[in-house]
Amino acid sequence: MPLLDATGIRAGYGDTEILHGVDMRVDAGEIVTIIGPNGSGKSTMMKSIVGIVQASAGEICFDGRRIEALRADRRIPLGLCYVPQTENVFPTLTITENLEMGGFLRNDKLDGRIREMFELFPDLAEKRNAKAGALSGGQRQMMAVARALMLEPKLLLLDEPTAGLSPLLMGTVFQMVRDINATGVAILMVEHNAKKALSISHRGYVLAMGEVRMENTGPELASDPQVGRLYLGNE
Amino acid sequence: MFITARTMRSPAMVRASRVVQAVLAIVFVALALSEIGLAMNGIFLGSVLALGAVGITLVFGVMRFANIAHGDMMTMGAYVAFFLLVSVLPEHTGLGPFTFGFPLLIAIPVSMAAVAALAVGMDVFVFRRLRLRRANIVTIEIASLGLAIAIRGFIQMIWDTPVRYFPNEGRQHISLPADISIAPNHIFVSGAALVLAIALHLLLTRTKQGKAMRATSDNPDLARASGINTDRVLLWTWGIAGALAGAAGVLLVIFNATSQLKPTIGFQLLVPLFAAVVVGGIGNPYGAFLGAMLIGISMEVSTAWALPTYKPAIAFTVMVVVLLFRPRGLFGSRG
Ligand SMILES: Nc1ncnc2c1ncn2[C@@H]1O[C@H](COP(=O)(O)OP(=O)(O)OP(=O)(O)O)[C@@H](O)[C@H]1O
Ligand SMILES: [Mg+2]
Repeated sequence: MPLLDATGIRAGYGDTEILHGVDMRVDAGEIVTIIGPNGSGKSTMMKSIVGIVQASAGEICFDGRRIEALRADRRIPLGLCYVPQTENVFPTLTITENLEMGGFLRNDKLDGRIREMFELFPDLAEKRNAKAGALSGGQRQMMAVARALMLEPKLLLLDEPTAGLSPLLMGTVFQMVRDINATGVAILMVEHNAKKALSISHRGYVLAMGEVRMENTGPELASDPQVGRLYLGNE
Repeated sequence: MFITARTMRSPAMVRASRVVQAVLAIVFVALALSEIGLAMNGIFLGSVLALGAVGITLVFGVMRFANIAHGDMMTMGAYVAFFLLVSVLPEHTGLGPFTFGFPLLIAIPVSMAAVAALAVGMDVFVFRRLRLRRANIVTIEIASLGLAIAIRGFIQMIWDTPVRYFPNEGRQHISLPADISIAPNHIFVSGAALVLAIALHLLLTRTKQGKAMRATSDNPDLARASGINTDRVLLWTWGIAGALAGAAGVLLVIFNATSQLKPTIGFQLLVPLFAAVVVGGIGNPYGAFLGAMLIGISMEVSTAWALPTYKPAIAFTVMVVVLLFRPRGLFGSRG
C-alpha cells in the first residue's frame, strides 16, 4: 500500500482550475521528485496534498486514511509535513520559536527534538535566539526543513528546497534530503534542478499544464530526451 | 508618500531624509520637555490609547482588517463597569488617593471578561461567517462598522441619558516640583495599563498559545501547515483584544477628572487609536504601544497652543508625518 496516494486531483484558485485530474503516489521510504515548467501547478499540487488548497475533486489517501476532506491542521498530525516554496519560516519568531511552532502538536519531548534539530543543523543552533527573518538564504532553507521535521513526519513535502541557493549549498541540501530519507522519511519534492534531483530520486513525475505527462524512475527520467522538451515547456 | 518612496533611492536624499527625521525627533522631544506637565498627561492618555491600539493591531495581525468596532467595544467596557458600580457592587468611593472605590478593582476584570466575550461572539457570529464565504475586505470592514453602530445603539437603548458618571469623590492632585501636578487616578491608569501590557508581553513570548498567535500573524498558511488550529487562534486573539478594550474603556472613564461617560467615548478615540496603530507599524503590538505614547504625548502637548478640539487632527497629522518618512510605520515590516 502506498504511503500517499492521490488520484484525480482537481484544484485551483477561485474559478481558475490549475490541476486537471492529477494522479500521484509516494511509497514508504521513497524520494519522489516533481519537475515541470513554471506555472504548471507543482506548488498547487503540494498545497492540495497538505490542505492549504482544497481540492475540488479527487481522493487523497495518506497512510491508509482518506484525508482530502480534512483541514490542513488536521492532516499534519497524521505524519505529513510541508516546506513551502516561499515564506517558509515565521520571520518575526526566533529560530527556537520557529522550531517550537513546528512541534506545536507534540505533547512530549519538545526540547529533546529541538536539541536533535540543533545537532543536525549546527548553524541554526548558533543563532537560536535570532529572528528567522534575519537568516541568510541557505540558513533559512535549513530552518524551514528543521521546522517541518519537528513532528518526525512519515512524509516530508519539499517545494523547491534549493531555489536561490549557491551550487555549493545546493549540494548540501540534496545531501540533507538523502540523509533525511535514510532515516526512513519518505520525501516528495518539487525541483528546478531536474537532473540533480532526479538522480537522487527513486521516481519522478513531469507535470505540465496541470497534468502528469510522464512518470518513471528517477534515473530514467533524468536521461529521457523528451523530459528536456516538456520541462522547458516548449511542446 | 509616493514621492518620498521614489526620491529615497538616491543616497543624498536618504541622508537628507535622515537629517529631517532627526530634526523632527529633536523638535518632538524639545516640545515635550518644554511642556513637561502636558507631556506627562500625554503618557497617561497614551497608556489608555495603547490598550486599545494593541488590540486593534493584534486583530489586524491575524485577520488582516482594521476593526472599526474597537472604539465601541471600549465604550461597552465602560458601561459594563458603570452597571456593576451603580447596580451590583457595594457603594464605595475614595479608595486611598483615588476618586473611585474598591469596587472598581472588581469591575475592571469583569468588564474585561464581558468585552472579551463580546469580541469572541462577534467573530463567531459575524466575521467567521464572512471568512467562510470568502468575503472581501470591504464587506468585512462594513460589517465591522455595522457592529460599531449596533454596539453603540445597544448602549444608548439601555442607558438612554446622554451623560453618566462613575461614583466618585473629588481628590487633590499630587504636587511635584517644577509646577507639575498629577491626578492620582492618572497614576492608577498608567499602572494598570503597564501591568496589562507586561502580561500581554509574557503571554506572547512565553506561552505556546501566544507564540501561535504571533506565528499566525506572521504566516497563517505556514501556521496551519504546522498543525496550528488558526480558527482557535483567531478566537484567542479576539478574546485578548476584547479584554484589553474592556479595560481601556473603564480606565478611559476614570482618566477623565469628572469620571464622565458617554456612549461616544470610545468611538471618539478611533482616529488617535488608528494613528497609534499605523505609526507603530500595523500588526506590531510593541509598535502600537509606543505609537500610542507618541500620539498621546503629541495630542496633550499640542493643547499648549491649539484648542483641545484639534487633538484628533494632531494625531492624524503626526501619523501622516511619520508615514512620509517611514511608509510602514516606526516598527513595521509589512507593506
Ligand atoms: N494564490 C494564488 N492565487 C491565484 N493564482 C495562483 C495562486 N498561486 C498560484 N497561482 C497560479 O496557478 C498557476 C500554477 O501555480 P503553481 O505555483 O502551482 O506553479 P508551479 O508549477 O509551482 O510554478 P513555479 O515553478 O513557478 O513554482 C500559475 O498560473 C499561478 O499564476
Ligand atoms: Mg512552485
